[in-house]
Amino acid sequence: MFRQIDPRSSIPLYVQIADRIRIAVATGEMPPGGALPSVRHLASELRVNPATVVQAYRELEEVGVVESRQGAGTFVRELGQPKREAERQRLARRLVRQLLQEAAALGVTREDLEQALRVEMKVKLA
Amino acid sequence: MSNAIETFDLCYRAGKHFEIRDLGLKVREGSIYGFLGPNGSGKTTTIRLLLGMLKPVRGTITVLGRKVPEEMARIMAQTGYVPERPHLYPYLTLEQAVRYHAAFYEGFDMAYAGEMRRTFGLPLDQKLSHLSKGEMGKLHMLLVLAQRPKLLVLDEPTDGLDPVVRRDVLSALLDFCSQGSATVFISSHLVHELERICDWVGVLDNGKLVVELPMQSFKNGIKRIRLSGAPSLVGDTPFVVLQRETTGTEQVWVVRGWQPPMAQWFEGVGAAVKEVMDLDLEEGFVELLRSSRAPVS
Amino acid sequence: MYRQVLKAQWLAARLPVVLLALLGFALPLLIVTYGGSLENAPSDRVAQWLYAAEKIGTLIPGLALLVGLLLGIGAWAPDHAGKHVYALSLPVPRSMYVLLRFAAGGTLLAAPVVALGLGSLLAVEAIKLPVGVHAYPLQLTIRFALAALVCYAIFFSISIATKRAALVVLALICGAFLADLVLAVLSVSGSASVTTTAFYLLTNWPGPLSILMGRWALFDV
Repeated sequence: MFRQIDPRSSIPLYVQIADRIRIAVATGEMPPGGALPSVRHLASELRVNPATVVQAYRELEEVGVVESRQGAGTFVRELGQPKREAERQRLARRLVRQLLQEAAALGVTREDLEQALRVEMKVKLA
Repeated sequence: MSNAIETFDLCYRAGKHFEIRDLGLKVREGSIYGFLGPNGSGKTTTIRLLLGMLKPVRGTITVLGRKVPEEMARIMAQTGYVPERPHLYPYLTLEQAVRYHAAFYEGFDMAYAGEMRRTFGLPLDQKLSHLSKGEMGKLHMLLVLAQRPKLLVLDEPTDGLDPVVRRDVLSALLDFCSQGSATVFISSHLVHELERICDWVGVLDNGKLVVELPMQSFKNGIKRIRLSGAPSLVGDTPFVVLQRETTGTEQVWVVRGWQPPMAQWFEGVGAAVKEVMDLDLEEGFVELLRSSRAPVS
Repeated sequence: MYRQVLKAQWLAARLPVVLLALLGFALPLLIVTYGGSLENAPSDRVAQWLYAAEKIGTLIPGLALLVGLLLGIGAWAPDHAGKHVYALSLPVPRSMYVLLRFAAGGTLLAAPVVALGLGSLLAVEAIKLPVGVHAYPLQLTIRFALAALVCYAIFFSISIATKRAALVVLALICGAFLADLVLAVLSVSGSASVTTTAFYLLTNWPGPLSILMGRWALFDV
């Protein structure tokens, strides 16, 4: 699932990890009630500071995606349908934001983008 | 929050020139502290000083709350040291080497050592002289982790190891860190590796500590700023200027200690900030070193 | 800790210890066979035999020196090779570590000493001594043990210093010992043994090395 987190990116590592988990939860890859890997396991596997994993989990808990149970670990919360939808929409907006930023940097205009979207989506559906 | 390692005014010289100058390290307990520096900057010398193997010209060193070198034996009982070059007896087999090492440490965890040996795939009855570099690297990590120490001092532990072995060694290290609150002092010139695992960074250049900051602050604080109308003479700045370049009508400044509100300073001197770019640790490190060697006027 | 240090030292010095033990075992046997048979020998023949035996006997202090030398240097060789980094990083005060090494190397001295003892006993059993000639295997062995210990202590201390110094001394001693062995075997008449001459020079002043002086006789009247 993860695990190409990039330490060189300006996005802090804990944010990257938290985001990956949020995506997994939104797509259903990590089902509600499922357990997150232990801090120990994830830190070792990703080769990151355990404090980073702890921070990521805490962040997720704050936004209500996961909950930590004393002694048992961290688990994905049961998200109601509207919450899951909101999460997907949040991710969609982020994708679009990234796309727009990149387009601006490359000098691609809105019109070019819209054209490309139409072409690509048609291909997908067909 | 106390410091696992603390030095004050540490100076060392072997020969005419001072190798280490006015070193004031502070390694917080429980942190993973990356000791960065180019080759020859004095990292190994500093480590040898910290472990009482060299005698400083002046200064104090405190490790785990005890003075070096007076309480060296007590300190080493709780410290795992991986040196730059292998230092175990080459004529011993792996099993003999582990048993020998274990005899000196009270809390040595034989079961943990055995578990790691199996994970690393190390052969028990192979003489150390016949081990590959990667196997030696793994063995060293195995030995110090099985000590279950409070402090780990690692001198380029992954130097010369292939990427697969490097991953294994670092995974084992982080697995151990997650189990408790050990402090790790790891020196390396492999910046990318340290970037993932360290929460503090200290940069050594030419025997002087150039910077000592939490990793995130260091990374966030170094920026490359594209601007126009920048002044040629600079007085006091709220940030530290590492590098200045002019290309055509624009200037590019590399600064340290940046915070977004500081854009106002540029406005104050009549300059316009076009872009603020992030630098990763390696770039930041390079810029930092370049500037510390040829200070910007 | 001591057990592991002893084991490590044994593993490093296995070969020399076994060789020295073999030498120690062989020397007394050489003493009794060198002079030929003592069966029904007239008294002047006995005197000749004793003289020959004593000549060979001068190799014993040489062996003590060699034992002390090899085990003294051997105690520090592995640490010297690694520039002492490992030893310095262990949670043991330096003085304690030196003591552990000394004790371990000293324990290994037992091998050649016991071998000499056994060889002497065997040699004494093997021949029928004429009236008036006595054997002193125990005394010889004890004296050998003490001499070896003294030499060991001296070379141990030198060895903590520099490897080079110890090696130079080793080369000299080996040379002298070999020369002596050759001379004794070739029965070059009237020649003083190289080792005893050297000993005389070295032990001219009263000191620990004086234990090596004097007559080392397994058999005497």
